[in-house]
Amino acid sequence: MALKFRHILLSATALLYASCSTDGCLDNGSAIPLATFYSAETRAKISLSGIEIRGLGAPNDSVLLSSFGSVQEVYLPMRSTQQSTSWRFTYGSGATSEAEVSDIVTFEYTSIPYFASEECGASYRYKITNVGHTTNVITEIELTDSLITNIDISTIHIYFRTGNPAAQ
Amino acid sequence: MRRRILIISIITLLTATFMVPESTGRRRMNPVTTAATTTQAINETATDTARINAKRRAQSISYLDNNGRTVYRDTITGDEWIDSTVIARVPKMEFPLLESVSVGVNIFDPLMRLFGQDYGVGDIWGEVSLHNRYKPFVAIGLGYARHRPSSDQYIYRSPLSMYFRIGANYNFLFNSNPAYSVFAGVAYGCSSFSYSVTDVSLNSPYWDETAHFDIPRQHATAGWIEVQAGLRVKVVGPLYAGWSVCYHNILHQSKTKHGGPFYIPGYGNVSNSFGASFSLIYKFGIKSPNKTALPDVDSIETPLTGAASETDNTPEQ
Repeated sequence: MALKFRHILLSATALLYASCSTDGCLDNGSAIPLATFYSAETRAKISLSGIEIRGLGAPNDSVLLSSFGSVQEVYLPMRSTQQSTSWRFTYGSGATSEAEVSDIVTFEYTSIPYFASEECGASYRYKITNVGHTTNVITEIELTDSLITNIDISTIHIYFRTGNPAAQ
Repeated sequence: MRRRILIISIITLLTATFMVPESTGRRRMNPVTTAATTTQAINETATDTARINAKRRAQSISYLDNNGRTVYRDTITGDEWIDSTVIARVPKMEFPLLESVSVGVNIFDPLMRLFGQDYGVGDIWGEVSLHNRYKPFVAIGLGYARHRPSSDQYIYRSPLSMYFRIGANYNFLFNSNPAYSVFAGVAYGCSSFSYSVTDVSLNSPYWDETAHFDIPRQHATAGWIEVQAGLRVKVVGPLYAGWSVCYHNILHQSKTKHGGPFYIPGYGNVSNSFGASFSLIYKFGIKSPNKTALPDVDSIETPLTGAASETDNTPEQ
């Protein structure tokens, strides 16, 4: 009987150790704000086509988003080495565009070092202190939460004039 | 003639009335010991079911059930029955109130370190066995962590910190051989500790930038509750080995500005709801079991035989 108990001890220990492995990070590894597009007139979600988004100061003036199809939301990664990040929204950049119109959006923030979890690791949280933008097409930018975390939810609502040909 | 008969009858009746009680009170009998009188008691009780059952018990194995009753088992037929006459003689708890004191060392974390775990030290605990059934315990331990994930993105450090656990277990085999126990219980644990995350590297592919920073040391206090179950087995002499698993849940934890801990001393990895322990135990026995020896069948029969003998062999006075 003692031998049987010892076998149970060893087997259960091995099983427990095997079952203790953890899953991966269920949230974003970094705090990346998710911006959602809304109509300034109807206050409803809209999809935009022919929109192009570039970061000001990005290496090689690289494009973050260039959409010929419709897009309803976009991740806007903040510069972790800076205290502000600016984006240029260009409308009507598609092949069927009539004229290019653009807006510049600037986020000012404070970076807060944060340890999320073993799997998600460490990153910055961003406490947005100020939002500035031009008003060619964008009418308003609303923050539902000024603290940007790695939780995958939209906290930035950008309102566009839907009378613009680029908006559908 | 009829008158004479009547007179004689009256005289005889009066004589019997006055003579018989006196002679009865003085009557004495001498015992007669023969083969027949020796076996008479045996023959008369040959069909006595009480005696038959007593003899069967003498050839049976008995054990105590959960209610403290002696259950007899016939080794030939396998039948089981309860002797209601001995219930009052056997205590409900086979073991005394203060049965033993045990001291154990939990070496689960050191063992897991051999398999790559990079946190945990261990604990020592003391336990009091009440009736070999209720086993309150306290534990004090040390925890430590230095964790570098496979992504190499950071180093998590938690210096050596103490933790405490207090709880109680219930031994389901409380009236059985104390060499084995299967138990379940609850416990509360708490720890006050600090931690820091250093050498963090944060890449931003779009901006082609890598930020390097440290998260300053933070201090936290956490408490948790755990429900555990396990078993323990005697190895040799007073040495035992015990193993248990637990489901634990954090009850309270300090709010920290730069994120919560990855490791809590005594609790382990906060993302795991299950924990385990493996202990080497030294048991200090205090009192032996309460169980009293059951009366021998022969001793049950002796008074019966003796009574019969006294009746039969009353000396004449």
